[in-house]
Amino acid sequence: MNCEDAREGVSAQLDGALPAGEREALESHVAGCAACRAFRVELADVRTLLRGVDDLDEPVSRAAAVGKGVLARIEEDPGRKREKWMVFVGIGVVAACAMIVAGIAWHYRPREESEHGPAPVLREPSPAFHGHLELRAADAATRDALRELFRQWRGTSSLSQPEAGPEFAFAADFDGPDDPAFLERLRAFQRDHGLSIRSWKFSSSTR
Amino acid sequence: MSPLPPGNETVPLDWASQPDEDHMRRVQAGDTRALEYLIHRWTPRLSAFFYRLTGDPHASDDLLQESFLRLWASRDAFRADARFSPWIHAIARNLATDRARSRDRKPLHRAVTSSGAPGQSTTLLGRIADSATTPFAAASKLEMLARLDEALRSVPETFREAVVLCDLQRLSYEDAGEVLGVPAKTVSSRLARGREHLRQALAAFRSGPIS
Repeated sequence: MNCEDAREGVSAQLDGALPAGEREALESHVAGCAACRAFRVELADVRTLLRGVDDLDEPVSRAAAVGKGVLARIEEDPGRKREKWMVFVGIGVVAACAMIVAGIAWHYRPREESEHGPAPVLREPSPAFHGHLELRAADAATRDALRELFRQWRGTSSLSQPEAGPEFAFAADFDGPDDPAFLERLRAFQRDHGLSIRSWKFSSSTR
Repeated sequence: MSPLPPGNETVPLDWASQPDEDHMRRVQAGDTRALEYLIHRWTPRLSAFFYRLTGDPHASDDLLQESFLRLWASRDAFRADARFSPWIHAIARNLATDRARSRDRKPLHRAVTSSGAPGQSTTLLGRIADSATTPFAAASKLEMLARLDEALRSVPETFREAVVLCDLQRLSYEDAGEVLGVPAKTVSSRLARGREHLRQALAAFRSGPIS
């Protein structure tokens, strides 16, 4: 080991970082080299001096000022503003999706085919009204139209269709709340299809 | 360094005993309180680091803010197994290097001649003088540090970085190597050269008058 190698080794030795394999060679050189022995003492002084100067108390107010400045600039950062803006957009999108889902659910809620009459299953019919109707029509269209009309009845109904003959027959027994509007529609049907109706027997009672 | 930032009562008491890496993970989750806490904990050390590297006490406030802003901006790059000290030192060193490239460094004597109200010094040497118990002790400390500063300025930058990181910032060879992007063996070699430069410079002071 020459003096140059030894001086690098001395520096590492002061830090306890000299590999074990090099210690013996270094000690052997230093033992026989007065210049390197003196160098080791001086370098130790330099190291001690350096390691004694960074023990400083920074004013607490300085750290606070730095922190305040950093946080203020982070808040001003366009990227952070964009992040905040995107959060608002995200909330808006989620809210819009929720409203759309709710709207779809409302649109496809369980109900009768017609918008005008609520589903019988959803309403407990009042037993106040009972009706009986027998129709004999000249054509199937008239019979089917009456059958379709009975879908609007809000109570329970029992429909029957006698065997087809020269006339098209239809009979219905229906119970439920007293519904003047439905009865008016029946009367309108009778008027509108008068030419096709061969017979029309209607009776009703209320309790 | 006090354990908690003043006026920040919302910081949990056990934060003081937790390692920097734990706080950094909070920062990664967007916790600005943890960032503020790291700023409080690291401002003294980074301040000394910048001063020793640049020799300009007036540059360090700006560099400090930039360091923590860069920490915040690159928080996602902090790996789960990373250690905070070499990471923040690497950020600070890169900033100081960029600054040195972009402008001429200020002469060191600014730090020595800067003055303020007693007890309110903002420069490194001023704070040391403030901390001395007697005027004589202050003068002695100032003299010693003025010489050390001047000696440090004479050390080539490559070696000075190793001295500042290992002797002043107390990083291990491995951590300093991580900051500088070189193997620990290279750090050891640069440190030895830096110390040798200092030894010679200080010996020259010893034989001559104080400037």
